[in-house]
Amino acid sequence: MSQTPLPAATDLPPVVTIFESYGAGASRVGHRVAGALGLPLHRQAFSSAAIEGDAAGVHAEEAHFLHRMLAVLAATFGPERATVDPVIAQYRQELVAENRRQVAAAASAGGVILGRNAALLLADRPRTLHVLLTGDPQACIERAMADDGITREHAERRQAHEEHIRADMAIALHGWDPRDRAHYDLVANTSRVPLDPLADAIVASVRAAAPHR
Amino acid sequence: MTSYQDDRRRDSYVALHAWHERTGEPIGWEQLLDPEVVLRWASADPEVSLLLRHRY
Repeated sequence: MSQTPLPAATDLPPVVTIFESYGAGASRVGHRVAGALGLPLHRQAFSSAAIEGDAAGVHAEEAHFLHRMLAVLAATFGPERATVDPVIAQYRQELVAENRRQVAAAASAGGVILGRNAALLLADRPRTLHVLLTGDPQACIERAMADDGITREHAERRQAHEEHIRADMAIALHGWDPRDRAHYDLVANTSRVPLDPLADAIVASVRAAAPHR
Repeated sequence: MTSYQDDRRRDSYVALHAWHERTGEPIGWEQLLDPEVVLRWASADPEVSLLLRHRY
């Protein structure tokens, strides 16, 4: 049995989790918050660019993830969702365990975690602020075009599907919908609140709870 | 209650999974992100179309 005491809540590095509607500015806000706190930015498991990689370019680890994730998605939302397939149950268990491991590692380092179901998995963690960024759909498309250097058509395509697919994965693995505002401490419309002042407000909130940062 | 768009997207998971199981071809993210293409193909396949909520 370990004699190492658990860290007191005051010893924990602060964490900010962020989930966004596509194009709401999570990456820019997260980068500024992490920089101000002097802590790392833990990006989403799969970026938009990675998500759009062609099938031939999917390497082994990602192919393994996609194989299991698609099986779980089809079982969760398909016509046979009432039946329990042990293979699917095993896939779900593995994917949930991998997700928990990654988020626990990120949280132990502190910082900003984008996506990854972190608002759910760290719901009870002290010194943790959960943020949801929303925005006017057209404004989000304009921001995505500017930030990622992509066409309007490209940004509209990403907006139409990506956020919902990420949410479906969360529902299939954990039974929670990351678009539900009830899971967050702070919900901000980035079409109305500029990103830098918003990031500064998040940093001030974190420092109020963790004054050594 | 799910929307028609939710149904389309979720039916595309079922169709894509059926295709992957049948062919063993690797799945790409771009296929997950393009339900329209997947569903057009799936609706033309009698076996797969039976698994879907709607005809597309």
